[in-house]
Amino acid sequence: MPPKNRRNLNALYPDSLPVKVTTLPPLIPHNPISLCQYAYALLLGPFISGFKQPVRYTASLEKTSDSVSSYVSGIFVESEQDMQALWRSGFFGKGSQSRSDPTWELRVVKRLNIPGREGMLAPEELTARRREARKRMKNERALAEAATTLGREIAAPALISDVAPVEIANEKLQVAEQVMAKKARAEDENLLDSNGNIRRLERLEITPQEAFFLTYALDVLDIYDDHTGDFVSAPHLLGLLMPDWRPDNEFILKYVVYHHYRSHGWCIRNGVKFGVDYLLYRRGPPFSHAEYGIVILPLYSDERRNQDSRRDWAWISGVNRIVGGVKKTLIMCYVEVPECIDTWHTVEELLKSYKVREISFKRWMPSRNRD
Amino acid sequence: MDVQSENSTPSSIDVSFIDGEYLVFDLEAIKSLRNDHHISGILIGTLPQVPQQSVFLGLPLQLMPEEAALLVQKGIGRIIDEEASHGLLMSTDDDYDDSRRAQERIAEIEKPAGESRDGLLVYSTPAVSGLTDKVVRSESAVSSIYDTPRFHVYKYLHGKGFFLSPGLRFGSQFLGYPGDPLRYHSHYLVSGFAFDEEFPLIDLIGSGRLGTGVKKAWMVGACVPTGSRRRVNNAGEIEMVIKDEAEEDFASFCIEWAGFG
Repeated sequence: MPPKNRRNLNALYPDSLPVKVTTLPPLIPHNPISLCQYAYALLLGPFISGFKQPVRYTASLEKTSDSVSSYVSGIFVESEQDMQALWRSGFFGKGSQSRSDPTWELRVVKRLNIPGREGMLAPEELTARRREARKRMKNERALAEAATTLGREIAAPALISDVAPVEIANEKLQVAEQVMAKKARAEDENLLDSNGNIRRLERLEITPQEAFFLTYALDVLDIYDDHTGDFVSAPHLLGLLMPDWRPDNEFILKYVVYHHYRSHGWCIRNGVKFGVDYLLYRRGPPFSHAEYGIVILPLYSDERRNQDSRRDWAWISGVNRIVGGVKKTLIMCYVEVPECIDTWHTVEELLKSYKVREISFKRWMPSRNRD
Repeated sequence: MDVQSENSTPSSIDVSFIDGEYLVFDLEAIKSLRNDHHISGILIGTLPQVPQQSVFLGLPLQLMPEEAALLVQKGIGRIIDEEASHGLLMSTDDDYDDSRRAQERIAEIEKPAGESRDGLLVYSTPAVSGLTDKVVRSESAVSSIYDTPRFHVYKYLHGKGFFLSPGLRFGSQFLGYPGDPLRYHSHYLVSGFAFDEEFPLIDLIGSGRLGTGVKKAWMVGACVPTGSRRRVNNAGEIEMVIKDEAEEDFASFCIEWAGFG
């Protein structure tokens, strides 16, 4: 990625977690002035400028009940501000109408030509432009290569003619943009309220693991029950998400891994599109592609249970092929499951009883791995 | 196990069972398997002339357990227990007294050097040659394979004229080729399941992605149990219906990703 783009991204996404950190002045023990400065900042910090006020976000929890029990069916962040903040600092959640970041509103505004956001580009437009530029670059490269191979006399006309396809491509792009903008769908009327403003249909859906991490580990998210309006505390949320309280409950296994990688500074997101449990990004999706695909495998102290839960070799081979095909490395993440867990444990004690071990798996061929 | 003589049925294909693997050593049998029974198998032997490569391989041909089982079930082939046959071969030599043979050998060696040629002693090794009896494994040795989901899907596609090869590379049980694998690319990544067997939904996503990414479809299939089957009626309810005799007793689906690859 070019450095110019990178600077831009750093400005757009400065925080890797939705917590505000204020740095205290340096403390030098033998320097009384620094001591004073330090005490001043520590005590009066919240009242001086430059101090970042702690932010809290709000989410609502939806439950569905069947004949047997009720379970959590989704946790959503509704406010536009919170949605953007949670996406920008740590890349939490997924827009309910978008592929990942909540851009539905911007897309619709651009599509319907609603004034006000002319300067901004929807990510889909960015992608279209990037692809067009790439096509143009390939075209030019092909012509240049043809010129070098065919020789000088043919090279000259080829270089002249290469202007034309680029211009045509540009024109095509403009026409396509105009057509896109004009094409209104029949149901588009329902998107606008009586004042001509766009209705807010998108919300940010966060996974149970993300919700619990934001409430318990970072303590920046307040969750309210969508039905009753009651506040849901972190221990209460844990009870809702793992009602059976089994040591190998799927939620707790996934959460242990989630917490593990977040603690080590990775941006961890759901890997369902690659058939794995998680994807690890060095900083986040806009910066670079995910580098690792994580599959979670429970590891019991009882060997018989390990035999029962064992996946076959074909499965590993298939998953590795998907992950390897998109230039990622497969990590088999073994979670050591404790014998039993007690309901009276604090969340911290509960998490401490799990251990995480990783094995990186890569297909290696002597003929292809010789660099 | 019963002992049969070499030429029981002329067209019968002998599959050697060695250390848990099913191997075919006879070139004519391999041709027949490929041409008449569309079973391609995998050649696993090194070529003696070019031992430093693994692109072109030679005899023997390794068969999957399902292929061997199908040959037995259809009466095309028989499984030879090579270990037992070998034992049989050795035991026929039992009446030949070892000590007497040793004596003869010593006498042979101690003969005056008159029999040596160019100052070297020439020993003749008594070699056993000729037709020997083979121990054929009874059908019960492979019949346990008959009732596995893998065998059901193998037999179903094989019956439709498909060639199947191992699907380990693509995380499935088999790869389904519409004709000879030398002529066609495979169309399906094939996985057989037991009827009503559950599998993680994420596998459906992964296998669908993998299949579509290599221009194939992920095919899942299961043998419908005899007697009754479930069907979704017009009202969207699941009802049990008695399976029609003429109805196909195998249900299969193909999964692909749309707008991808």
